[in-house]
Amino acid sequence: MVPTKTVKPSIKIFANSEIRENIYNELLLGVEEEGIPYDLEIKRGNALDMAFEAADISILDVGIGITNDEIILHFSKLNKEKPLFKIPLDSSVEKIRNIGSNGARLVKKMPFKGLL
Amino acid sequence: MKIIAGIDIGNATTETALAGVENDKVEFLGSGIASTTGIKGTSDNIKGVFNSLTKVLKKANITMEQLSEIRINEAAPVIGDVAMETITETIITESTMIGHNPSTPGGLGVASGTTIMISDLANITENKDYVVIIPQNVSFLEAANAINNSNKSITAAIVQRDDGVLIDNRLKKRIPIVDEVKLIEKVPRGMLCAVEVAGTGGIVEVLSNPYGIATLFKLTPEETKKIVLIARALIGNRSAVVIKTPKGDVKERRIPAGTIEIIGTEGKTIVDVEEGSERIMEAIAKAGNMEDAMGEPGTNAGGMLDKVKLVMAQLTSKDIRDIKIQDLLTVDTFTPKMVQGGLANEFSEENAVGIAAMVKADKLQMEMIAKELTEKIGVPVKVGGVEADMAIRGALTTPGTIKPLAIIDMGAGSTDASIISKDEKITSVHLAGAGNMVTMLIQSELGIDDFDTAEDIKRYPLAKVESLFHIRHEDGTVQFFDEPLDPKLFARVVILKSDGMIPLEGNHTSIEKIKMIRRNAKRKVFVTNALRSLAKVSPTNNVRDIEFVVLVGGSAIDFEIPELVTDALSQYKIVSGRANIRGTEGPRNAVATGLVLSMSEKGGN
Repeated sequence: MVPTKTVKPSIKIFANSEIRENIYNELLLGVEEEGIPYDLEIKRGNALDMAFEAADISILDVGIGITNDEIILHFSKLNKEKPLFKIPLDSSVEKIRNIGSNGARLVKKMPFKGLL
Repeated sequence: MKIIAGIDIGNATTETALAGVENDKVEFLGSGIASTTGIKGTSDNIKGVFNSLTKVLKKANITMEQLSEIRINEAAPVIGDVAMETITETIITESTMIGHNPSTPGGLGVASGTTIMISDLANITENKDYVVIIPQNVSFLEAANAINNSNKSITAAIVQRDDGVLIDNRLKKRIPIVDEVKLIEKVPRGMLCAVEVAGTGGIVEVLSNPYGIATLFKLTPEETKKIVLIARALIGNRSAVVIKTPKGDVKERRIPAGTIEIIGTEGKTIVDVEEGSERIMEAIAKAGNMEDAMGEPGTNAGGMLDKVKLVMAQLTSKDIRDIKIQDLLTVDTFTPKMVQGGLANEFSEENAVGIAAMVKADKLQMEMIAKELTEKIGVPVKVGGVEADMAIRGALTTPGTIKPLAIIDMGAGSTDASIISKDEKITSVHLAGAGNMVTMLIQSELGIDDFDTAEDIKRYPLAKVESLFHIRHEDGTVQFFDEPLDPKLFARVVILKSDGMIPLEGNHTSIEKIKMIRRNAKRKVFVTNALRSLAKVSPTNNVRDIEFVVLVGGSAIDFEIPELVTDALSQYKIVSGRANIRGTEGPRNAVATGLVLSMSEKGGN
């Protein structure tokens, strides 16, 4: 099935259902503070598949996949096996917010925040 | 066939020319280049000489034993150094303004009110306009709720964290919010305060206007005079905060820079550094040949010149009182400095003066180097003719040149000029200021911490990384890549070195600004010195009476310095351009080539 593009220009985010909400809340806040809209959907799957599919259907070409283990930020024009950023879910609150900011900054063409 | 080598030990590089001589006919066999080891004119140089020589021998397939003679340059006994001092500073007293530029402030508009901690909102009874202060221990949700639920009139907010947009999105009523204020605990409370946030792409219009501030704070004409500097400091920002405290003020203080006393053949002049570099350069020109220069003791000018003299004294192991400054080049510059008393790490561009000085050293110990080298490699090594004479001889191998000819040797430490007349008379000068000074100006004007990055900015063109797959060069052309670029480079200005791209960190996101600073630094040093040096060697002291000029030396290899100098000299109807030594070497190897030629002309003696 050919996935249809998101209707509005936004960053597409797929997350597993069993994740505690307050963890990816920080990520959403990172996107919001940069002023870019996002579209969150609960879905089953691994982070890489979800991130790449999300990037593919996002009009902005930016997708994020979140599982209980990790967060992956992907860009539709990259090789699927080589995502842009990948961090463990138990990273610091600051890092999780920064990966959200970076998704937005990829759209805004601004230098990324550090994830080290 | 006799095989000979000429070796030129420069401040930065050691260059070799290798040639075979038969019946006074010279056939060049190759050129070698290596970094100079140690300070020019010391025995530390031998390693660099050896590196440079073995490189060319290997290329030409010749052994050390086949060499019958080596000539090294008689280095000009001058050394240069650079220094810089700021002459203004900006001080904010009593925390009266926040003039930084957070990337994402929240809300929109301009408003004023009395500052109050957000935690104190519930305790106040007086009904007036308030500006809330939100420290980092209050989350954006708590802050938004407190503002939404308060029965007081809250007109604006000052936030410590990067939460401006998050708070704005959760408020019922839109107010201007300035965020990322690092030292929020220093924001005075209970004071009248104005906050302004402009829309995306806009800049503040009320707080950058003295009458705008006067209107909001109901200032008298006398008070309005005092806030001019505040308004000026906020020009160009997207957001700003101004707080009215009883004694608060922003001051620009001029640091007493002191005077410089120039002693020359035409007399003595004293000039105040504050009057700017132009006046100092006029005084230097008027002094004739400089014999020494001194800074007023206890001032920045004094400190600056003493620093240079001290370095020179150490290099030449002489007493500091015996170090005489032979030439000075001063330029007006500026440098970003953190504002004293600022609340959000604000920077202000302060005026500064950059100075390059040149001192005469004793004859450098070239004879000793030659002796040591002879013992080491078993080939007779002699010290050749005067450096400037050799350079001109080498430069004349550039196709299209003819005597009389002037050369400008643009190095790292000094700019030297020589002229050869029809009847072979050679006149030369050494002037302060060259490549190292350009690097210093770039470093200070961009506020870069390390010298190496500034050096890279000087030497290589820039580009902006516009996507993960393409960059835009500074001339506007676009280059694509097959593999995605490192995320560290994304959206940054990068230096295009041959072995990769170096990203510039921090706020250096404007390619235009960096390019302008780079070109101006090169112009301020090399165009000024080209004109100054040619006037000194011209038989009539007039630049216009010189017809042909070739540019040699390390800085002549630069991708834009020769073009800037050529352009400036063309206004004096001078034909000038980068040398092409032997038609193959470009602006390098002039002295080494000259040494070889002088050997063959004298039959190798």
